[in-house]
Amino acid sequence: MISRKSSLALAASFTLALSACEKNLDAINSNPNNATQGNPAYILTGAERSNISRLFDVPINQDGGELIVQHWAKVQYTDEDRYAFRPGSYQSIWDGFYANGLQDFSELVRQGQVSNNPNLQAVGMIMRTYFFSVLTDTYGDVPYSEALQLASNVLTPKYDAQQDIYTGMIAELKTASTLIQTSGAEVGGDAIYGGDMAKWQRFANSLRLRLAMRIIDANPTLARTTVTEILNGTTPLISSNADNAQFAFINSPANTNPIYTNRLTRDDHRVSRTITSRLSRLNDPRLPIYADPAQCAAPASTGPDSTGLYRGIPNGLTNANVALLGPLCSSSKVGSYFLAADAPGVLMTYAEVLFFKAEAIARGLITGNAGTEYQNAIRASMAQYEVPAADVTAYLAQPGVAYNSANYKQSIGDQKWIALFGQGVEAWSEWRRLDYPQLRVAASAVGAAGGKIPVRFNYPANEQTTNAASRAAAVARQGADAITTKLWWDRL
Amino acid sequence: MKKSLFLLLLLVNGLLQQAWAQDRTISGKVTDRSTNQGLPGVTVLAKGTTVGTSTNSDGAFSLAVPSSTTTLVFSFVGYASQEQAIGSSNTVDVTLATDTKQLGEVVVTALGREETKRSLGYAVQDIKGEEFTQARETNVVNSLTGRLAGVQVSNSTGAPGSSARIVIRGAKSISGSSQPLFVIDGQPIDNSSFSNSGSGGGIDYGNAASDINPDDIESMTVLKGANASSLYGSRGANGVIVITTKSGRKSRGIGISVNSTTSFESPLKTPDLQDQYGQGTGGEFSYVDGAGSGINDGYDESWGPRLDGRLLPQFNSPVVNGVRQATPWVSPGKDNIRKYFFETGHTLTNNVAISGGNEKAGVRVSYTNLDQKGILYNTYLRRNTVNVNGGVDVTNKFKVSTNINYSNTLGRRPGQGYDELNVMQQMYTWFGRQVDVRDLKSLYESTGSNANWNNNYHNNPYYVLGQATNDDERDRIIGNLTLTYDLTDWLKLTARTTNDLYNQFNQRRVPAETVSNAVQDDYTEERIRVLERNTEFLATANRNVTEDINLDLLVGANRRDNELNRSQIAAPNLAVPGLFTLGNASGALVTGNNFDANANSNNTNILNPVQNLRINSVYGSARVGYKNWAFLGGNVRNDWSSTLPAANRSFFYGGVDGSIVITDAIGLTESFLSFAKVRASYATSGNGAGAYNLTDIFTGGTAYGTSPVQTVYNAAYNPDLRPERTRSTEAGIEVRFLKNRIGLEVTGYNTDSYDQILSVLTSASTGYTSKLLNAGNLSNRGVEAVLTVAPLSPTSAFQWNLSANFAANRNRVTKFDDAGQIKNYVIGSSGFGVNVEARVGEQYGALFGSAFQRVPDGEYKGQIIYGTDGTPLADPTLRVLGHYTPDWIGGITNQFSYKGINLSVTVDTRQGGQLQSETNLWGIYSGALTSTLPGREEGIIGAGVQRNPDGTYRPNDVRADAETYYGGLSYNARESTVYDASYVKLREVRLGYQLPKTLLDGTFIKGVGVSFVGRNLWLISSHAPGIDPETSFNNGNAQGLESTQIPSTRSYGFNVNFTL
Repeated sequence: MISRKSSLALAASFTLALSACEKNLDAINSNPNNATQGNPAYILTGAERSNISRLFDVPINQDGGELIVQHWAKVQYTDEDRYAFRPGSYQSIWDGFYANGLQDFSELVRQGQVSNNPNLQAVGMIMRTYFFSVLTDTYGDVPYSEALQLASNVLTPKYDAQQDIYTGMIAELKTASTLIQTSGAEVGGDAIYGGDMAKWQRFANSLRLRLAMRIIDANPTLARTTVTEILNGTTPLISSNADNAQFAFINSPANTNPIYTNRLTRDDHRVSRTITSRLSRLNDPRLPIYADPAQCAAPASTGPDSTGLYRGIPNGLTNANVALLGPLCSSSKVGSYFLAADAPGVLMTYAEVLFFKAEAIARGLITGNAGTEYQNAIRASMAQYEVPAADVTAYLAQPGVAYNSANYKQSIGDQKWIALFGQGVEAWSEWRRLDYPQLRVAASAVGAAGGKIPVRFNYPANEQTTNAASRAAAVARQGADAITTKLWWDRL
Repeated sequence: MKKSLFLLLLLVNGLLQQAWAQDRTISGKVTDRSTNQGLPGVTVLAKGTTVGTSTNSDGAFSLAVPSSTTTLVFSFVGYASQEQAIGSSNTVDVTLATDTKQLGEVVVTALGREETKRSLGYAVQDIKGEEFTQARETNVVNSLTGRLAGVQVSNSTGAPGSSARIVIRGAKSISGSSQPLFVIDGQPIDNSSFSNSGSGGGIDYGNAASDINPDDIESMTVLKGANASSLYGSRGANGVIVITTKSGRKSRGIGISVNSTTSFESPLKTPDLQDQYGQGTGGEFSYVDGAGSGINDGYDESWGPRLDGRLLPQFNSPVVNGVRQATPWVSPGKDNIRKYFFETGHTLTNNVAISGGNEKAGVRVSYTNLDQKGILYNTYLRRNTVNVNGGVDVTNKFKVSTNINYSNTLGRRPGQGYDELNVMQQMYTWFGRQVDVRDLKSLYESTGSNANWNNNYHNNPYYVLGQATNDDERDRIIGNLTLTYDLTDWLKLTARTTNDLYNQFNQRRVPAETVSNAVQDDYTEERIRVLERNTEFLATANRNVTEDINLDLLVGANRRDNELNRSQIAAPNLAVPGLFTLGNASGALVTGNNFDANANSNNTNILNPVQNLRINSVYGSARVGYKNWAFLGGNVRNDWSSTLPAANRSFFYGGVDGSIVITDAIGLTESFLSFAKVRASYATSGNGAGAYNLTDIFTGGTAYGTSPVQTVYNAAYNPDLRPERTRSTEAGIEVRFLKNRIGLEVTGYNTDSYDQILSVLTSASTGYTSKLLNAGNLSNRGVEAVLTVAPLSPTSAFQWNLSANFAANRNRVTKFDDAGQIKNYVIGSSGFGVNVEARVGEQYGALFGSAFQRVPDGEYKGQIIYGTDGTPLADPTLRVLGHYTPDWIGGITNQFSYKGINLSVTVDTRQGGQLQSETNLWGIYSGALTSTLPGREEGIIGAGVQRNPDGTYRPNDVRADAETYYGGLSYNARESTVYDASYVKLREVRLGYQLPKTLLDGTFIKGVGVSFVGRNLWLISSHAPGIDPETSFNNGNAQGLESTQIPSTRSYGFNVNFTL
């Protein structure tokens, strides 16, 4: 049986050879392609850029908020302008903010804790809260308390009620503000404030003011406590346009403003006639900034246009109706200011703080002169676009611009809507809350809109695949998953 | 050499002759009954003696026989032995018929072993080489369509060299490949697909198994289940296709064969376009620049004016003094695109093979040239293949053999999917129906520019195909070296090393003029290097332990290394226009993960440019045979995979199988029932993961100025992965009746795949969009049957063989994670709201998307609810709209032969299963299809109801204009474009004629055969409008979605072969 022995020996020697090889197997499987550690500065730069890009990108801003509040309108592929939003848009907003935004900012909070850098922790918290607020203002109830817990094996986070999310966000911003040590550890890679922690603290408080005012109709108690605390005169707030929270897009690939990027290949958007006629009526010096003159004449058949060279178009046209307006060049494109590759991505402005202050006075939360703050707010907005002082004064002197204390919501709502041009998501939220200006439903709205202007976005389709039970519970609590279902804070 | 061989034969004959007292010499010729060709190598024996010889290469023999001999016995593998009385004549010519019993008796199974089919406890099926060479397919995988039970083949599109998907007994893997392993002469080869074609565009580079040259295939055996293939480990779980290549050993002397095929291709099925209304919207159109300056001239829809001959300025109207003239607004003809846009594709394949050999050595050298021109302008595939197969017996005990295959493939391929770089996107979905494609061609050819009927969204299709070209070149060497040493007459040692190495180089050009890339010319290079290396040692023993008991043993060990290197470099902004080289980049080159900066949708980020993995294995197998009618086999294998954590790295699996040939066991002879066998088997197998799946990573991106960026990668990995597992049981019966003229083989199986390593799509609210888990149980149960019938007597001149196969597979997803959090898994997505999913409790491959809102109950129950705009409303709750998996598949092949004339006809079918069609969705939306004509002038009141304010319903009374109605009908809910994917196809017709030998006598030609072949000839029955339901983006698991496909082709041509 020599041969049996030899075959056994053969097998044994293979086995030996193999076990000797086994320690090589670990080396073979070590990843030569990607980093397994993250640098907080690199993560912060990347997360700021990608999330602020997303905030101004097509799905939520250019084909979302800006159309809904009738700052912009569409001349081609007009579906969104008729409230037929694309399923892919709902998905990309959700996926982008959660997986590329909140996850990265939460990683910074985690690294801040581990490396004992409270400033890093605070920046992560402020940015995380900002985008949680964008998500809940867009969809309503969303995962919050159980979100971002995959490491603890939470594969299907529950959706929290919006009121609980707001309570959480307001608390987290306070924590962040408290954590900040203006002379403490440095935060690298910050393209918003260059690591200036004093400005981050002002932003945190101002954002908390925004969130508190948002829930004033739904949870007046929490709103009142928070607003009065922030507007006590000593809490640092954004106090000039130099403090504005904004991201500097730069003119190099992957770093350009998303509106510029969109215009490289598309030419679907125009300025809405709603805002061109309003600005025109008010002789608003921001008109030539918000809109570019039409590049050709409209056919005589469309009749004289009250805006002269600045020809906005109505919202919600069908393809056929667009055609009746004349060639595409006969309507005004969005102003060049907003189309620049390096146009800033604005998260929050001094003007907004002043509008909130005026509203807080008008509501009797604090004392002061609401009309003065209202005028200051308009001045701050004009200053953003470097409107000459004389023009601002003339503008404010007009009866149509005067503060109407009998209907502060109308005055503040109308002017805030003008000031928030370009900030589609925030403009949409404030329009829903203040219900001013009074907008007409898009001309040929699709049946699904039920004859109303949309007040939320539908949950993305993949949630019905990946987190179906949690979504179903939210729908049962909040109401049908439709663009007509009002959010919790949108009481009035 | 031929002469010396002949001398050798003479010498052998001479020696034999000397040993016996001879009385007479008989000579004659042995030919094949069906082909009339001489049969070389046939053993001729004087019955009752050991006196014998073999026929020469012409089939002739001469044998001196003892005077007592009255009968000669002719025998040859694969043919029925025949006895022939010699009488007084000294000349005996015989014809041999193929033996249905013998055919397929010996099959090549796992690890290249030749085993008798009767001994196997599982199902295998094989195909002979000539089946592939007469009706050639560019991608050999397609040749299997309709021939094998339980084997479903789908070709993706009609582009040259497009990929083909083959699934045996249903998908086994929820996320990974369900493609079988291809093994050539014992060598596993790579069948990757580096295509990036999907719903959003991209290129289909084909699957790597398409490099297999049909001319070099001797036979192909399909091992269908884990039971047959568990010796290949987990890679065999999807089945194994074992290919044996032609060798020189069999030929005696020099043989030369020449095989030439010419075929022509045309689109099989194209959408039904309307010819009543042209471009525009709201019935209005007037052309200025095709980009919105005229009236609706930027629109890419056909809701414009009626094509009634009115005068309108158009893109092809003459411009006089700067003014575009109005010309008649007419249809260029309903079939304008089909007739003029598609070109007649043609494929020319030439093969020359030279083989020579003797008892001790043999070599075969084969060269093949394939030249295919696609049905789309400026698309092609060219391949040159050289194959060398040789073996030599160095000593009686020591043998060396090698097979080396080199191929060079050049492709110029069209863009695919829903993308403006896929020319089909405009032809069949967004089109002005007044456009004459011949004018687009002359516009491109006269100006060289991208000027088009629409300059807003679409490129001139000729410009895209002519300038935005995608070129690829693949050089591939597949080679193995096998050494065997016979230790004793029953114990053999084998050492084998195999290498499969290829380099692929892809170039993509996107000129600035295209509408998708407005800045500057864009150029991307991609380089891919793939290597699989196996080193294997085997000891095999085969011995009759007693007279009745035969023992067959094998032990072995294998090391497998897989290496992948892949890089993409893009020059997004070229300096000199039209000069597509990296050196011409005006700015920074873009690489790796940074393609977010790039406007070219054909670039994909490569997460892991380098991927290496290793698997070490030891294995053993044993089979015991009792009296050649009872068999029991078993095998075990242990793998150590580099891709798993150390604790779970080693995994063990194996199987047992048994079979009993009942007819032999009970001694049944010469009865109605000629053969009966039962078999059963059980097997398990395991699998490792992909490389680098254990640790979470951070990825980079384009820097912000000088600041680098990083992000937490969206896919979460898993440090605790375990191997994937499969267990499978199978039982079958094989019976043959009436001297094997009727045969039936039925197999039932049940396969459970569990602990699958799945990248589960998670809600992004977890912070990640996917998580790698051992999750997912998938069970496949099915039955398959093969029926063969030879209705006519085997001795009659006219022969008819019928072969039919049937397979039904039911698969069900039973579980994902242990905690039950995950209920569904997304396999793929259409890009427009339809997911292909695996859902717990459902058939694999559910199409999940939006359905119409319908009345839940009452008088109008089930009716579609319309919105205030007169279009159907979509239900916000998504649902399963269908499944792509078919209920059953089958095929029937009829072969007729008469005096050298052969006719073979194959029809195959897939019944059940659905698909969703983007071509129909957008073709209806844009008014391009004929189905959008009703209601054009007067509008439409859709069939259904309106919801009253009080919650009751009334019949729909809102009349919508046609543009609004069809737009909403197609776009609001995906249910609108989900179709039954069943089809019946005339898959193949072959008519062949082998010239009678007598005509060639006195020439140097030994045989000439001609055949006329047609493939994919006729879609006999189909329910999906305007498209071939057998379509996909690629060969992945996300099937059941169609998006602006390049039509599949019908091909017809002829084949000539000579042997010299």
